[in-house]
Amino acid sequence: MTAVFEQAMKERALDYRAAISMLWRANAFPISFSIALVIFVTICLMFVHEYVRLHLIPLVYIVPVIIAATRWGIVPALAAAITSAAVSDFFFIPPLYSLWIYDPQEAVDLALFLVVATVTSNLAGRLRREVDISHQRENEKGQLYAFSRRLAGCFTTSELYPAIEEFLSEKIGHPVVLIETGSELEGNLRVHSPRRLPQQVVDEAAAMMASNDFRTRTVIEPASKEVWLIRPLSADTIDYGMIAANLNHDVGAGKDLEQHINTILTEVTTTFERLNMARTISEAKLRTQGDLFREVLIGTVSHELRTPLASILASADILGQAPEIRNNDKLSSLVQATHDEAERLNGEIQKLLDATRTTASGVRPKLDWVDPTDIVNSAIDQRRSRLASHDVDVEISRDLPLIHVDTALIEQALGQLLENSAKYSFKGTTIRVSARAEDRRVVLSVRDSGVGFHPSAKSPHPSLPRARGRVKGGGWFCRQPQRGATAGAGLGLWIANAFVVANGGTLDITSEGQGRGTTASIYLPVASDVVAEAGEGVDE
Amino acid sequence: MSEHGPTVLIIDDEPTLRRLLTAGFEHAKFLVRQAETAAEGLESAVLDLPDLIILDLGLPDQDGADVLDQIRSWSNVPVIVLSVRSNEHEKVYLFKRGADDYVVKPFGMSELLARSEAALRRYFKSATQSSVVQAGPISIDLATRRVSNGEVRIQLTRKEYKLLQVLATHAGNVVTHEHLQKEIWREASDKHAQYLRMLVRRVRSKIEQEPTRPDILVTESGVGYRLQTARPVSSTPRRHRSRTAVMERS
Repeated sequence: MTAVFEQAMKERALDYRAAISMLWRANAFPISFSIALVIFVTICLMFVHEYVRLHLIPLVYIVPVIIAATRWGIVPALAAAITSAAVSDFFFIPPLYSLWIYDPQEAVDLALFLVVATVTSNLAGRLRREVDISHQRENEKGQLYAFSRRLAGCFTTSELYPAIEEFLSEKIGHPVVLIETGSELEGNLRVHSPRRLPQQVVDEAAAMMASNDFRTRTVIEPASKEVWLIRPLSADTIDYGMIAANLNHDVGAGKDLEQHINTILTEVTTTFERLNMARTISEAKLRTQGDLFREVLIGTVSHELRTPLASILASADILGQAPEIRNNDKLSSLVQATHDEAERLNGEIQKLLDATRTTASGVRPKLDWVDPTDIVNSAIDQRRSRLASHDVDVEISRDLPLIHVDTALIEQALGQLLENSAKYSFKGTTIRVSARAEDRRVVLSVRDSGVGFHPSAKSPHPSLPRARGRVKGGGWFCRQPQRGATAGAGLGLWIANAFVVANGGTLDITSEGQGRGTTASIYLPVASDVVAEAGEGVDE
Repeated sequence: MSEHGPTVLIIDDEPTLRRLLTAGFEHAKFLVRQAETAAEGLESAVLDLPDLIILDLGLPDQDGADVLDQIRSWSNVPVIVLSVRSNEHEKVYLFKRGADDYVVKPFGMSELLARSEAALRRYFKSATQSSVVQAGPISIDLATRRVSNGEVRIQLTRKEYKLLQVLATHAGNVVTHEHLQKEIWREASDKHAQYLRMLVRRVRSKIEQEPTRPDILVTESGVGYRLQTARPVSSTPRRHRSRTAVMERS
């Protein structure tokens, strides 16, 4: 029993010693600086004391004590208080140059000073701690805010995982690689990180998954002798995946570091729960699969449908050039019809492919700088054959600002408006296309003198643009196409709207009424970071 | 070859399309070689030394882009790529790897023929190495750095000339945005992307008859710019009347 007690005492003694040495390590510089401050005050006082007889000298020493307390905390402040008491006694209280005090009044004064200094330093120290904590909280809040903002911008797992990795690496202070796990991976692991993960670490993580034993493991890579720590990100669930932290050559730190990482990860997991991370991850996984599926679908549909179409179109072309057919009006009109219908089918396929790009989560534009003039010209060029029986009048303002958009999407949207105008107006009439700037927006308009639409008409698609201004209710779809043209399902306009919205713009369709034409306009914002017109880069 | 005109090698795995292209090219007096796979195509490219290659991207045994790489490692014969997707990224990527032109399926035969002829013209012209590049009424003399519209000299700033110079050295071919930025400003960035668009607008205002409907310095949407040395021919019927220059051109 006594032996046990002695052992405990020894351990405690060791702890005290460790505590003091730790305190000293953390405070060595502030304590030395506080004492230096006291010495400086003493020198000043001695200089003044030569000429003037000073009373209440200890009071002056409150200054270094408060400075020490507010700057470095309570320990340096106490050191400053004790040093001040000793120094003022030694230099200023008779008998001089001794720690003895003759006058009991002076002794009481000094004792009072110590009490006041202790209380003051305690209060100032506490205030400082609180300020520190609130700073730290502010920092953490900022970090968390930046992290959640970055999460909001992550769409697929390949974007999400590196974001989490960066956050963890910053928190832990060591490079971290996140390993994706999940039932759909069938026991396999996936790594999205640009960082290299040694094979040994991957094997160990796989073994961990296979054995269902999720206790922390360490692996030393034989080649570089780097130490890797592997564990599930959260102690409670494997949903977040596993992490491998590169501890470099920090073997000595071993247990301490592991403890430190465990503490941080517990905190991180709580944060993840707050951000509903498990859901974010599973949604991102779903989207990744959706994207993959879409890519395959688009690829297959493109190939399987367009290759035979290419043959039909090329055949029609070659046939159309043969003299036997060229000289026979009936036959050549048949060939022309084959050609036109094949082209129309191609347009419809393009629309379907575009619609698959437009998912529930929207279109993801690839932004680039573009001159609106180029968009207008290119859209007209692309729909050349559809506009063949109309006059096209183009009016483009000079010095339009550049816009930052996905060129292909906007061209496609404008092309759709042109096609609609051609479809819903009489042959030989004029379609007016214009591009102009209007209070920090660029407006691309297509105006026809066609059938227009009635305000009361209802749109079959709730997500379609609502016509504004003169016509309320949005009734684009009641328009009857001109004879010979075919009514569409309205898919084209739905896609055009999705493409414009994805670029931060709006689509606006107005009509004066039935039989009085339609104006469709695309409003696109001018980016705020557009460089000054004709800057130094162009002038030389 | 002189009897038949140029030789074209068609590398495509679709028999129907191959047959049609053969018919189309033979009709236009080309001598046609066919290959069904990448391996056959590469073999024929070496043995038959075609003047032009039509390359389908979707081949069964190898990626079309890799075939392009292998051809480019030893030859600068014009290559026109056939693809099913009009994807800007794919276009930029293929132009960077040395494709001369890019045609999206489905295409009109006459369009493909027109592009083939343009590619051949560029190929044979570059072999003669004339220092003057003619684009419509505009002539660019790369030796004397003189740009003129007919007899009238056009005053250009240093950067404006540099733009025309780069486009003229690749006359008729697409030059990507990135390549132009690097040639003119030595770096490509978001800021330089904007400068380039403005520079193009300025040059157009000096060389184009109708700067908002350019037909000399033309845009290859999402990819780059091209100095148009020959008028493009298109397969679409031309009943089209219009008041605009761009429409008349097309």
